Amino acid sequence: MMDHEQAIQEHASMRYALGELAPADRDAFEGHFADCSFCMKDVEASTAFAANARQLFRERAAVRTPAKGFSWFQWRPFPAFALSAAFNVVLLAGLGYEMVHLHPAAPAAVADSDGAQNVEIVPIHAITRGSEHLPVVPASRASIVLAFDLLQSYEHYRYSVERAGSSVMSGELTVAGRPDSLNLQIPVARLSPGEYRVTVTGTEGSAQENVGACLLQVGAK
Amino acid sequence: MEFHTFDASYVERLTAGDPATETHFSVYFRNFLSLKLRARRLATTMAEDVQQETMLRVLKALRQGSGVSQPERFGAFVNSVCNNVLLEFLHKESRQPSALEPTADPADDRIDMDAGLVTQERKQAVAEVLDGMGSKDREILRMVFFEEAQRDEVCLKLGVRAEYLRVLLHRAKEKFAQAYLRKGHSKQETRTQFCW
Repeated sequence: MMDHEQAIQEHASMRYALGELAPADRDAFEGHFADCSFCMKDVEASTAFAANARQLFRERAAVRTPAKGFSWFQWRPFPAFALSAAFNVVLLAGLGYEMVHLHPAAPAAVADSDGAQNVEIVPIHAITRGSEHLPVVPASRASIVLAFDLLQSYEHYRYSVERAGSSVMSGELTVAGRPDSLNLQIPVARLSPGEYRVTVTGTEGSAQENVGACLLQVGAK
Repeated sequence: MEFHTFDASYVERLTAGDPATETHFSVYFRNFLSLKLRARRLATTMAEDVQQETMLRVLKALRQGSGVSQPERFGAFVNSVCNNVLLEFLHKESRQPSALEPTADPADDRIDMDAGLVTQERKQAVAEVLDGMGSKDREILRMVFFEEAQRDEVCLKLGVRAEYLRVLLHRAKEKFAQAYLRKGHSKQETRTQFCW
């Protein structure tokens, strides 16, 4: 059994609250603080501090996420996704060139809507068990690509875009092979301002699982 | 410096069914067992069952069994009874996995486990502590609590020594306890809110 001096010296209360003690040390410390009201109080304070600090940091991170946006310099895409993204950029550039240079009769229309666009690609990490906080993605451009991590492959994929619990758009997605990510392009321009929940689910046999989800915030146009 | 709560007189009063001692026993050990079972990330329903069974067996041992040989270590006795109960429950669960399957998932869910401990006032007290710190210290705590990074990793990333991190955590927790208690919350209130 751990003695009181040892418990204090080793900051056992906080390490216990954070789950950092090895099982043998944890058992030894429990044997002590069951009889020591001082350490018991210290464990209470440490546990409460840890739980509330975790929650506070979660809340602050959730508030900060929309403003932070997506940093290209910190982004480390999967190789397959990087290749796919590169092809998309080339395709869009080619399309833009074709629209501007091969259809000079309608330059105004091109500039308005159908021309090449700088498409924002936002990675959405896989849903972890117990995670309640969805990533918030602000969308200010006409279109956005949400890149959902695929930790495993499924037979079928579906997406749904909901607002206040009502489906705005949904459908099947075609995914060839076993890619690392699934890229879902959302026509933001067609959505009225507000918050939308975007969910991608995968189906394998009769089992259906959430692949990823996020909250899309569409600003006023 | 020891702060033992128990002695032969306490155990005698509890055995005899003294109401005040029974109340103390109930509050103190419910709290202890909550902390202990929480540290093992046990599902809430199972934790409640283990708590009740432990307290029942302790009282039974005092009133119908052989009693306690070292009354000054009554807490350690309760702890060992709980260990036995816990082993039995886990053994039973491993034999009937399907019966506990629906409740097995939340056992690892820290958000759910924290729910009973998080209050607006406590969060405010933590916010006061964090906002009174320098940005580097705040980042250290963010890594520890939010990212749940290992201490070695935090020290390496932010260039601080392990002792600095230990002291920082200790001081933050002390300030939190002072700030929370300063707002007029009694020890009793703090304890009862820990129950699952």
